[in-house]
Amino acid sequence: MEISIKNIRLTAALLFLAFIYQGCEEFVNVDAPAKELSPEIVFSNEGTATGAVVGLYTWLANLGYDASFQTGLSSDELLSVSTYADQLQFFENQLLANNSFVTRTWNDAYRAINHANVILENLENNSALDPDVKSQLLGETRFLRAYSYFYLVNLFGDVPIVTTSNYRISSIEPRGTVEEVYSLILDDLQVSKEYLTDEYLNVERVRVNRAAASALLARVYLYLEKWELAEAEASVLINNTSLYQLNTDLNKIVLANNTEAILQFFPFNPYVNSPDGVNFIPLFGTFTLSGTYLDDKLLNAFEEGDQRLASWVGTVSEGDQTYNYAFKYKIISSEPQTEYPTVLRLGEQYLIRSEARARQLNISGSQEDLNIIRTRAGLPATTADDAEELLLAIEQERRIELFVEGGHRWFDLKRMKRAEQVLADKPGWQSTDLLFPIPQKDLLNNPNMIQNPGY
Amino acid sequence: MEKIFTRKVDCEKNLRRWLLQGVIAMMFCGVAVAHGKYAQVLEKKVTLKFVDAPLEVVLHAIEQQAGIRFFYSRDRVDLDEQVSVQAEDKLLKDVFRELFGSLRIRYFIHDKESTVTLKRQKQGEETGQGVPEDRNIQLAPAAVRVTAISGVVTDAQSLQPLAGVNVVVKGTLRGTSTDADGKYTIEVDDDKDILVFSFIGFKTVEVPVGGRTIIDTSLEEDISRLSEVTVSTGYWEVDKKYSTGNISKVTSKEIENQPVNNPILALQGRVAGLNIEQVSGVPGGSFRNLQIRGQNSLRADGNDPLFVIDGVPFPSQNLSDRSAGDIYPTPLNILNPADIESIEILKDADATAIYGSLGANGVVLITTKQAKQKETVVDFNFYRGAGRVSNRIDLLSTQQYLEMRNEAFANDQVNPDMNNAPDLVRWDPTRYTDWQKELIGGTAQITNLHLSLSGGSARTRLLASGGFFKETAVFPGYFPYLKGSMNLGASHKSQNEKLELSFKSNVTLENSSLPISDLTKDALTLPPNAPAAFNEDGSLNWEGGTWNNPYASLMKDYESKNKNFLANLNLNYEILPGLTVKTNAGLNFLQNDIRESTPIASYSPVSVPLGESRLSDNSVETWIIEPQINYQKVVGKASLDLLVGSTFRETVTKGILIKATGFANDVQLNNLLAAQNIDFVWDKYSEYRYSAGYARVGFNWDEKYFVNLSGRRDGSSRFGPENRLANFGAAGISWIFSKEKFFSLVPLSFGKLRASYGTIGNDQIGDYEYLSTYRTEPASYQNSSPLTLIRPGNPAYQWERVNKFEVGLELGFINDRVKVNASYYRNRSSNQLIQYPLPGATGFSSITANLDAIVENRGFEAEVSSSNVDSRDFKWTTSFNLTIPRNELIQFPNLEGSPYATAYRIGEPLYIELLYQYLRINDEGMYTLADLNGDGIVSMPNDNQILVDKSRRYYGGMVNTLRYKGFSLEFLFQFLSQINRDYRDVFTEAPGRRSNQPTEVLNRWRNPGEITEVQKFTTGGAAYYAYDQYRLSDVIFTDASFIRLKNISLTYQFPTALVNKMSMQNFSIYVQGQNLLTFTKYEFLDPETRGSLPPIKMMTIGMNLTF
Repeated sequence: MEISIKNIRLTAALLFLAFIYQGCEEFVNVDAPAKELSPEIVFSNEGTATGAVVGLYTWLANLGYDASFQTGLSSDELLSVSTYADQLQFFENQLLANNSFVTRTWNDAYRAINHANVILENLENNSALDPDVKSQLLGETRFLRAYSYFYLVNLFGDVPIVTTSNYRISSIEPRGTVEEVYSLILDDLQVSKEYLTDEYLNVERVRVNRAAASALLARVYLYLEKWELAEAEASVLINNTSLYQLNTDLNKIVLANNTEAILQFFPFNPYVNSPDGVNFIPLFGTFTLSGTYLDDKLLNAFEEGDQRLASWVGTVSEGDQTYNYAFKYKIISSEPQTEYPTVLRLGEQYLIRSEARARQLNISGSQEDLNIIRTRAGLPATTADDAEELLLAIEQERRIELFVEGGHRWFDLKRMKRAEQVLADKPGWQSTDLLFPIPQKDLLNNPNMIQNPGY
Repeated sequence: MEKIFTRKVDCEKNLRRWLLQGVIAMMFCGVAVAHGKYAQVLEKKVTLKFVDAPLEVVLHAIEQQAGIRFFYSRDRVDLDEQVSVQAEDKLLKDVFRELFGSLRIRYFIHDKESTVTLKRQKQGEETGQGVPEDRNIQLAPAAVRVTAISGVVTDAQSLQPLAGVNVVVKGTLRGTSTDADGKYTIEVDDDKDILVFSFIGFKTVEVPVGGRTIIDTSLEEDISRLSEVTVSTGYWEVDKKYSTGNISKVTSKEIENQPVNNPILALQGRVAGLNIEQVSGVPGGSFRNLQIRGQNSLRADGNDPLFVIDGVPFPSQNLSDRSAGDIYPTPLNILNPADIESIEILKDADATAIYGSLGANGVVLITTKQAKQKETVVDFNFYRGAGRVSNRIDLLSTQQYLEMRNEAFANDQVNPDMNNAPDLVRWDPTRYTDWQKELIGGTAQITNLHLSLSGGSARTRLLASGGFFKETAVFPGYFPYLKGSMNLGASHKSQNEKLELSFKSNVTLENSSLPISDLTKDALTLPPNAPAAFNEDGSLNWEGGTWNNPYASLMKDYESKNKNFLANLNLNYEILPGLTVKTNAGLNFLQNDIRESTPIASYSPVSVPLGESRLSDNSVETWIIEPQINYQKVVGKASLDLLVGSTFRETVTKGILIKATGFANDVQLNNLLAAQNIDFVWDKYSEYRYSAGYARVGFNWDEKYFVNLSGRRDGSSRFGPENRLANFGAAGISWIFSKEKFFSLVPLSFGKLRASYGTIGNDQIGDYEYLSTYRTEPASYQNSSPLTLIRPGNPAYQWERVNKFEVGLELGFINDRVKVNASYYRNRSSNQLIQYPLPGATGFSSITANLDAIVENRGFEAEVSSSNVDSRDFKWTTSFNLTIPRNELIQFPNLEGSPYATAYRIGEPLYIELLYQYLRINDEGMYTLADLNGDGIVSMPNDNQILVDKSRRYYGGMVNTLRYKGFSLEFLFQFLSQINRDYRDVFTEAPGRRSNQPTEVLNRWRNPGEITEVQKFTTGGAAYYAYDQYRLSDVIFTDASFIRLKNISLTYQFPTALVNKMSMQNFSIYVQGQNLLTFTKYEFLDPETRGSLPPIKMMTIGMNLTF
């Protein structure tokens, strides 16, 4: 009996010991993070798969504005009152590789590209989703990847072509040539056209449809000097009069779902209508967040009687000085939002077709398209009557019609080889400034990355 | 014997009782049995014949015959009880059965001595087992003439009564301790007995009784008290002199001498190998590089030591990313220094391996106070003080500033206008504001109050305390930092002393209302002719939007509330002699609630004046349970200590950040309902689980040779399912060579060699890093919620490991008056877990991955303490510590091709920076830097090749304590040697632009051929870029070494006689000073905080009362 009691105590101790070691391994198996979703779950459900795709739009929401703001300073559209060095570097054409704006643009585009790659990988062989839904999502994703690459290639030149979500590959991807990037863009847009339908999802023009793919394709063909193809794609839009018509009222070009809009981004930040409105419109008669105003050179370029000057340019007085600002977007905040950031609009398509026709020596066709834009602005028909004059007239018209919008001016100066001529009088100007620097972080972290010349 | 028979006998009554008791005894199987080796005594035979004799007499007779002694408590065993016993050559055990069974007395036979303890059985308690030993009983030998001795024990120096002194009769188990008045009573049975008085920190005294009944004595403080220090690893305790590992201990005494809010700050300069840098002098300030023995991990946030408060792991990382005063509230602020009993810093493998994956960066164990004695003690401490920033610098006057600006415009050939120079065109050129005085020239007030009450009984003790702390800032306005804390601790031992329980809880509320930003930079850079801050109507003056009014940020409201609840329960049960089961359970709940609001009134007219509020609510909940078994065994000279245990821990971190905008007016900023728009910026939840099994074997032979082995198998949820478990372990040995005979000739009082080696891990990475998952964004695109990918995910990464090696030598000279503890350590950290930066083209900024790089931290540490003068009235002790660290990147595969190519160099410390090489000021008056690769432009990463090592070359501290009668003076000098950036770190604008500058810039370049240190003044363009690059060059580094009188305290303790008259135990008053003097060649504000608010020079006065 005595021994057994000792044994009981020892047994108790051993049981305790067993308890000590019980369940160590299972204990550390934690549940999946409560506020996060795995890709398997996301792409097995229409709602969340759509969520992943609309996530792409939110990441690209600033890309067009950023490009117009940055290239507007780098070209001859905007001046700055800011003393913020990273902003001044554009204006002074003295960009550094660690410029925060350049880095943001690059990162936004590539973040969307990586996200698009993950979506494409998960949609491939996906049988959980309805085929129509899957097709729409694939089309949108391809389009938005092309849209991202379009900005990258035009701002930076050769850029790494990333088509996988595997960071081990993308982190050492060398720069692909401009041609290679464009061929991916073309492939994406053409595939996208096949996947998409003519109709907009949910009525609003905030999700990519087939027409949007055509519109971007028209622009890309123009940049690639494939005049015939550019004309054909632009014609798709121009001929679809049931959906697309130029606004006669110049004040309506960025209104939500206006008839000229081909693709707009939904303003997902409450109250905020567009980054352009927030950043360009001065508040209480004084300077704005971006601290920029329009260059007199741009204002002087408006022809006499151009109604766009009155409609799209605002004026503010500061002390004894007067400043002009971009006023295409007229609202900073409202509820509900009435203006949407506009990515593609019909006005550009007329100018694309006009230029494509002029290049193909279709003078009258070119004049016709150009005059449609001029007429809306209250201007007389163009007097240019040969291809060379027409091209200059088109460049001028694009400068006015598309000013501080998506970076058009800067891209036009580059592709028309006019930058040297137009920007030469800017102090600090060098021809290598046409390409932005590859961000410092990518130079440091990608062993195969090389910097653009001049940086 | 004669006495016995003179007693009156009442046969009948006794017979009845005898019969009755016999029945009861049978009912209860009234048998007390001992067994095993103890049984020998019980086999002895005795002959007894007593009828109705008092028990005392019977026991005495047994003692005589069997050669044993009985121990019992007089109040438990009735010695006068009359008993009858008949025995002829009967076995003792049978006699006991007969005798004690009827009396319901349990007995216990001690192992070595032939002693038997008697104890009265409780009503209804079953008998039949060896009776538990009960050490707590006042033991007195039976049937021996007992003399009670009483007296008072005092401190020889202060003559204060000493409470809690152990008083033992030498060679016996009899002992007691002194009460709050230093009084004791003890019984001795022989004039030749010797009383032994001992107390931690004091020399032990032996006093022969010599026939006295009153023995007063005084104890002298033991200057070699270090040798008596017990250090804890959290899992076991060991005498510091027997320790095989390296553990430094700082006690409440040292912490209390400093008027600081944060106990960690009180460690600065006191512990070898512990690096603490104060970020700024803002109250509640945080730390930079809080590291034990250097940076092990390439990850900036993977180098925190593990903090454990009363057994519960405590977060050291900030809960919120919302800052105030440019500092982030660190959870470590939450503790009240007055509640801390000790802080132990575990450094080497031997001490830290039991923490497995958590111990790689060392462990900081914080133990809070627990009641020490049963007497009621009330302790009250109060201080108040005031402080100012410790330094200011000379800046340009208005005249000099305007001269600089005009010269800059002239240099640039630009005309100043409203746009580029409102300071010249619009502002009043005669205005002058001393912005340093205006913005950081205030006085910080500090108030601290602490009251504690403790007491209890011999087995149950309680401590309750409350504290209040308040500190204000030097910024203009009222920005209080408040802290209130409450503690409750209880401990209890069961009557048989087998079960021990202790419970501690702490509740703290911390409330900080600091300005959103540290105004130091504004104080330095605002132009001296900047406009008045306020209009006549009291609104902010924006001067037409031409400046950033610093008072705007002061109008922003910031309130950070921290609530902390910490509780710990410790259960200890001795299941068999030497075998103890123990469970430590604890929980910690820390909540941080920050409300930040930007009133409309604070907006510059150039921005969107939408009232805005941000609310962040974050919490960390941890629970831990650690069951353990401990076995101790002493066999002859060998002593063995075994521990096995396990840990289960869960930490849940939650956080919500809400941004509310569109408030119509400023008065409703605190009401979310008044906001037009509410955004959830994030809603986070993460769960961390951790479990481990561990074991430790401690062995020593003759207290001379020591071996300690410890190991741990860890599992952490932070790794992919395949990589969750890993093993860590260490071995430590030590040899007290001064105990060897052949060393008796050497003039050493103590000598020990120790060494340890082991592998410890690190899992300080985020939760779920191995998963690639989607997060729902707080927005809506049309009618869908956007989802975005959070991270690339990498299930393959594994634990980071540190191999730690250490050898140490500990010496004592002149009776341990001088003690030296020197260590050399070498820690190698490998399998580095890093946030590997990814190029933007991957779509992510970084990924968690292992890198096969090795970082080595090696160094030499020495701690010396000496008692310089030790006379009755005057005592002077010095302790000194020195650390000479060296950090080196040993291995880094393909460093050139890695993202770290521009940050690190193999063979160099991690603390390096790669910089441009400064050449000269060129003929155009601009800084020129070396174009090292000769490509015509100075650019990164090719031309910044000059290596500057910012490591601390050596650091340490020296504490001197002088005591003369009631006065004691303690001062701590902290020193360190390093280089760092000079003033140009803060002056980001080139001289000539719209920012004030130090007067040094007046020595600028004006004409070709001039040799100056400052380039020409400029407002923009090439010279501006030149300045920007110049700030990235080697030339702006300067010697930032310093020696700081970190702390000084002077205390006067009123004489005991006087204090006793006021019925107090202690009354002292003190003056304390913090950061009073700094000796440095560094010419900027402060070599430690540099461009942030310098440390506050604080003076306090206070008093301490003990009843």
